[in-house]
Amino acid sequence: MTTASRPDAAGVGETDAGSIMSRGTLVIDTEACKGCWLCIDACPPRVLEMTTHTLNSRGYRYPVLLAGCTGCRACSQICPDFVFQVFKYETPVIAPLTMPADEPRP
Amino acid sequence: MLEFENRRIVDTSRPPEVPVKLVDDFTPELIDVGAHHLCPGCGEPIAMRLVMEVLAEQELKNRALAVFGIGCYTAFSNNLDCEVVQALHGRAPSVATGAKRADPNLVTFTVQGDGDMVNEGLQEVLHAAARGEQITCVLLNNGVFGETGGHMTATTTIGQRTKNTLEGRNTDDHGHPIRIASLIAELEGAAFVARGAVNNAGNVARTKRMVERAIEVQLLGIGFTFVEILTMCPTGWFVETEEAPAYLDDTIGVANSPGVLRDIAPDSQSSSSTTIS
Repeated sequence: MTTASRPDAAGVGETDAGSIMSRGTLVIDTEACKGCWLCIDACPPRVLEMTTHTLNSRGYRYPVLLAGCTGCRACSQICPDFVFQVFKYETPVIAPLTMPADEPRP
Repeated sequence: MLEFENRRIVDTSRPPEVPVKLVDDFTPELIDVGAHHLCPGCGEPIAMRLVMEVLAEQELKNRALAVFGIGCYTAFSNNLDCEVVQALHGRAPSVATGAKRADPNLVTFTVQGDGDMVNEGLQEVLHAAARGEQITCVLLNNGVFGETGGHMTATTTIGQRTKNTLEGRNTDDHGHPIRIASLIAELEGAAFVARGAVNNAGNVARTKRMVERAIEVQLLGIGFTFVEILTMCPTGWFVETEEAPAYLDDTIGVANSPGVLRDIAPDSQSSSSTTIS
């Protein structure tokens, strides 16, 4: 898929077909999460995704971060459970957009 | 939900090893503990976060006094790293008035819900506003009594379903809702009145500027300041957590549109009414 499928992804900067730039990253305290999904809808570049097969010890699904974070703090500001720590890279990181298809997703 | 097949997942279990700048910690400086017993998707910790961020940014933590009403958010007062007084149900503006008059150097704010402020203690907040007390009242308005099971309050909007208005609130049986911020904005004693919401990231940022402005105006000492914050209560509304932000827009958000309702303070270099709304 291309950026055209994500009208709200302006400024994320997919560098070429196979890689993507991340300006920021997160540490996610998955055990603190209560699985409310507010961060998923709040994320402007749409790089947060709820787990589909994995639960934390309290039985909640939790978010995982996909490549392409901008470090905008929308997730940490909207999170009722203080799950996110947001970092900005001093130099943006360019890394592969996808991972091997046979690798399990959480 | 997954728009990209096999989109790469980033390791978020530990901070990255390359040079980074921390832009937002788990909890802001003035919230000691993030863990709390409020429900998933609750809007109240989001609102408390931005209030405490404002106090930390304005370096007021040693002068701040929070007066809490009764509601779910009261349990969250234990997590805050500032002085907290627990008031009787609805009486927080009067307690805050006493504290502020005794020590004018304090930055006094109340935290109340709609059940606490508009049902139990309506006269307290109205008289405090009319007297022009130099306190800031923060109303966390979700349109229901969340703590006691999600029944109707005075701010529940017409047509909204709650536990005791199963067919939706109607004016014949239940009367009209009170739009408290609009009511206070009519009072001469009020210096700054605004209404924000925390149902999306844009509203959170806007609401934070309103709280900033309210504290600034309190420090000017020209009157009462009031910020109403519309919060989600998916448990009390009986909706899914991810639907709650849209539900807020469709119910209490319709009659209570966010914006600055009154600002009589002279413009300062930071936010003004035109930039916030």
